[in-house]
Amino acid sequence: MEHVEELLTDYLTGSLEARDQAQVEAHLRTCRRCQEELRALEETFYTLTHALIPVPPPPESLDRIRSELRWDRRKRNAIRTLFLAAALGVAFALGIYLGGKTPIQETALEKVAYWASDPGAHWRLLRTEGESLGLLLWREDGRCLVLFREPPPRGTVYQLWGEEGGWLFPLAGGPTRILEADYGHFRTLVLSLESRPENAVSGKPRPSPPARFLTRLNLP
Amino acid sequence: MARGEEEALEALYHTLAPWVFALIHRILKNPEVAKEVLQDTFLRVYQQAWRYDPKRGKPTTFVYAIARNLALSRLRGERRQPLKDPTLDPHDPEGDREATWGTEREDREDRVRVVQALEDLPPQERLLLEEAFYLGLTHRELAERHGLPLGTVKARIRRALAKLRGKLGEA
Repeated sequence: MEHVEELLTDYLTGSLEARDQAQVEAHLRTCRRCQEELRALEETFYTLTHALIPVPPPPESLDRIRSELRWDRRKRNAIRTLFLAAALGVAFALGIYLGGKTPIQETALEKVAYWASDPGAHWRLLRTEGESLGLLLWREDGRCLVLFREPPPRGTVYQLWGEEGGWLFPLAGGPTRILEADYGHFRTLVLSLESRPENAVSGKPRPSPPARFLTRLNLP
Repeated sequence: MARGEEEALEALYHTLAPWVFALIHRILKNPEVAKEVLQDTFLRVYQQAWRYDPKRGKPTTFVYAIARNLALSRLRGERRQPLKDPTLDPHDPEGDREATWGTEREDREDRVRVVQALEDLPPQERLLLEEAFYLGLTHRELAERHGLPLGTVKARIRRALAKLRGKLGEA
């Protein structure tokens, strides 16, 4: 395994090109040695904060934070109710119905129910060429779930990419109607059809757009 | 905290807000915008608390990283010269320091250690490191700003971080 210690300072200061950054992140997911090195570098980098003189925050700041948390809780509860109705409708359209489920359907239903009941999940309907494609759900923690209305055409798989700097970085792919992935730092997601799936660990970046482009979504 | 406990957030706020606010101020130099970013920081900490992994770093690093990223995003988005309020600039020798001095002895000792370690760096290394941290400039941007080869900038920042790490120990 080729370690990335030489690149970690550049990574820390945001100085890597998008492709190199993605490759460093892919390496960091599995390499304990480089994770430790990055941890130590980060902690040193952020000690610069302690060279500053602490500034007392405005007295009203904490009250505003409390107020935002209360409002956020109320808003999410309302949206969650609406979303639960929509997601269960999509689950039914996927053919996942109560009674007589296979183990795969059971797992899929559990996954959808988990996401549908998550107050932190955002969602957006997906369309391609004016037709309904499915539903994207995502959380602030970097996880996302895509539910497709129809299975992919025979001989193809759905592929989810993170797009940055004119490049596509594979996140998840498969012949199923459910894709779950870690979208990480990407703010633009792209869906396409491919001949074979690629995942974030072993997949390779490629130039955008994909040949069989379905849709692009910019996360707010 | 990962269960969204507001009491835990408030405890974190009381401990870290003065440092966080100082960092945001240093980056933005605009008190009104800094207040907004301070609030955004702790809200983001609350939302992303479940991502914190003690094996990957200290909680202070987690919080400071969120604050720095939000402040730098705001700085880039605003694209204007930040207003400088000398009474709130911790690095301004004319500013009022007494009112903002941390009262905890450990905080003061910690600051002395860090400041001393920075002062021991060669000026060029220190300047590049601080600009990378407080202005969020990439190596390429720093090279252009100072008319230096990219490799020189990278090498100086790496050396500066290595020296700081050596002086401060495992942070």
